[in-house]
Amino acid sequence: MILVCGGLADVVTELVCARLADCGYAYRFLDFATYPADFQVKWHWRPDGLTGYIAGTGWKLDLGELTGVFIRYLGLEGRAPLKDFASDAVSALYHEFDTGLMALLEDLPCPVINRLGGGFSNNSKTFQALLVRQCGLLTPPTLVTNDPEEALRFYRECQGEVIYKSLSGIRSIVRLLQPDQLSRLPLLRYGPAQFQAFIHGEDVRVHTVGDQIFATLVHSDAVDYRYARREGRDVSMEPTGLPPAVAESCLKLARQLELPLTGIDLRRTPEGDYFCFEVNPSPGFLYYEKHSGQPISTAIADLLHHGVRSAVVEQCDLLLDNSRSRA
Amino acid sequence: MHLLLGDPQDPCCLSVRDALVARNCPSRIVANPVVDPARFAWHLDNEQSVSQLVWDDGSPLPDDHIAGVLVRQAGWLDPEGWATDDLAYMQSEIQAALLAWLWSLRCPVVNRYPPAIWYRPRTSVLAWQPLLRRCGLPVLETVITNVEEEARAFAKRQADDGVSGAVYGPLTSDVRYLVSREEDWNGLAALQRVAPVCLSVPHEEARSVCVVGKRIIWDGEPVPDRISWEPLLQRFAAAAGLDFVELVLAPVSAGICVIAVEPQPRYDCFGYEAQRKILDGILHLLTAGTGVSSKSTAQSMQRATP
Repeated sequence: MILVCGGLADVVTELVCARLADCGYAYRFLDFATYPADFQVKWHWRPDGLTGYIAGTGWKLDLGELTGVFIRYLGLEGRAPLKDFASDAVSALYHEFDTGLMALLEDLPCPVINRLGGGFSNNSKTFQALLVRQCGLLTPPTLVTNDPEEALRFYRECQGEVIYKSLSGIRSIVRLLQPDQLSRLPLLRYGPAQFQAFIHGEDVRVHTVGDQIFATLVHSDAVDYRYARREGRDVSMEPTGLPPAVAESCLKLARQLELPLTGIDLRRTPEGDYFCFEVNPSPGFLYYEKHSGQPISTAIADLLHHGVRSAVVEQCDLLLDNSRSRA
Repeated sequence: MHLLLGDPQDPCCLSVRDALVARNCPSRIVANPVVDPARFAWHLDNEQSVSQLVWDDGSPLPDDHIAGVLVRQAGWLDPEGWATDDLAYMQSEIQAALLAWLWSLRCPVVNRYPPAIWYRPRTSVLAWQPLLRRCGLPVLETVITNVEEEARAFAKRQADDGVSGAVYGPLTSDVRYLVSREEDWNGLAALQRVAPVCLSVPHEEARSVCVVGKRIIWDGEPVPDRISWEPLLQRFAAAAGLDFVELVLAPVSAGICVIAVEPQPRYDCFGYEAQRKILDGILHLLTAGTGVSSKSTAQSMQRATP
């Protein structure tokens, strides 16, 4: 039995539920909009391991029956309002609920997409860059500094083709450093920022699901294609292949982070080199699946059901063949 | 030069600094090396990782001149003058930069925290249970439930073993309450209507032990069976990727078990003799480089952690 934890208002969770239903895989849904009020739980950590259950309306799921768990944490906006509690208390209570659930998920023997532990690396993109190097992918020339003069020197070394983005997991739009922004560099004295040489090429988004790889080529002339439409630019996508060494490096990264599902941002240069920008532990794969037709959610459903590859591989090969024929 | 990252008044930093000075090893306590007045620059690509600090007097400290780093606090930022959102953003940026930079250094770093611990140092002992069990260390029996009967049944099993009541403690705080009287159970049941509660078995007086590299340092009397405990404690520290970690042990009805893990050990809570041994252990790690964190390998970058 599969357990899905999240909110149906979240399109990714909704898609996973729909795909599990399409595949005929039985699952139970722990709805964060009504958790814990509508559920009964007992999770018992004994000296020799974990036992217990989760029960919803009309069902009771023994933890020993679980074959896989899919979880998407929600912000407070997706949670049920708690009557008679001040907003600070509500926040603290949900933090308490989530902490208990995280402790449970960390200790389950089945695949969990994704446990929180491996995702913490995403809170430091530079830490990930060190991992990326060790896994055999390229990382762009990077400067982390609070020194305005160093930043200016780097900008000049890179002939003015430098982007800046957050170091942490806080989402930021990747932007080119413009000449008129150089006068703001003295503000760096307040804290460090990350600058990278701009890498020319095409974006390739790779999703790893267990030992499967879905590579999606993104066509866009925006610096950050995620925000292309906001800038009035177009985005289109198609399935693509990866050199075996690059594919193996992506899987190695995912394994090292102990993440069954990742979204890895690559850029392929005209020379055929692959630079890696980030490993996302909670990827919004729906966007890519919708544009490319790649069966990422089916692979996730399969992994949750029996943790192995299945007919989804054939679908991928077919899509790739079609794509190559078009090219 | 040894860097001691922490509050200038931190007793551990001060003791280590004094001991290093006595050995003619230059050292510096720094609250945050990546903000003013320090100037920090780190160049990273596939060929190189080169960083440098420049102090307020203009003297440079290239990374290959850093002999060792003790990490007691992760990048404190004075909140004065910052808007709340900006402060939170900048703290995240500083933490992200520091975590990665510490992993880039080739010198001993005590501790070179894995990200899961760096970002959650004060996590509940429940989060440590899988790793504790894997290392053969006894864990505290615990239940999380919002079912009143299950909570009472948990306590009843303890009562059958001659232990009265259960200990209630939120996972997100250190406060603990003994639940034993009927009115306590009624209060707990009222709480369970809102939230699952976390109950554990009551324990007797706790004692702390520190793992510093390969050394095991007990605060006071060790447990009676120290010979079998010490290899397990060493195994745990290595598996967690920590050179310097405190564990809190306490007897329960089934024997002694681990009731807390402190990846930022409370040095000042240890007795004088234990502090002296901890200090020796840290100095050995910083100057001899024999700890787990002296190896910045791919395998050690992402260990099993809470």
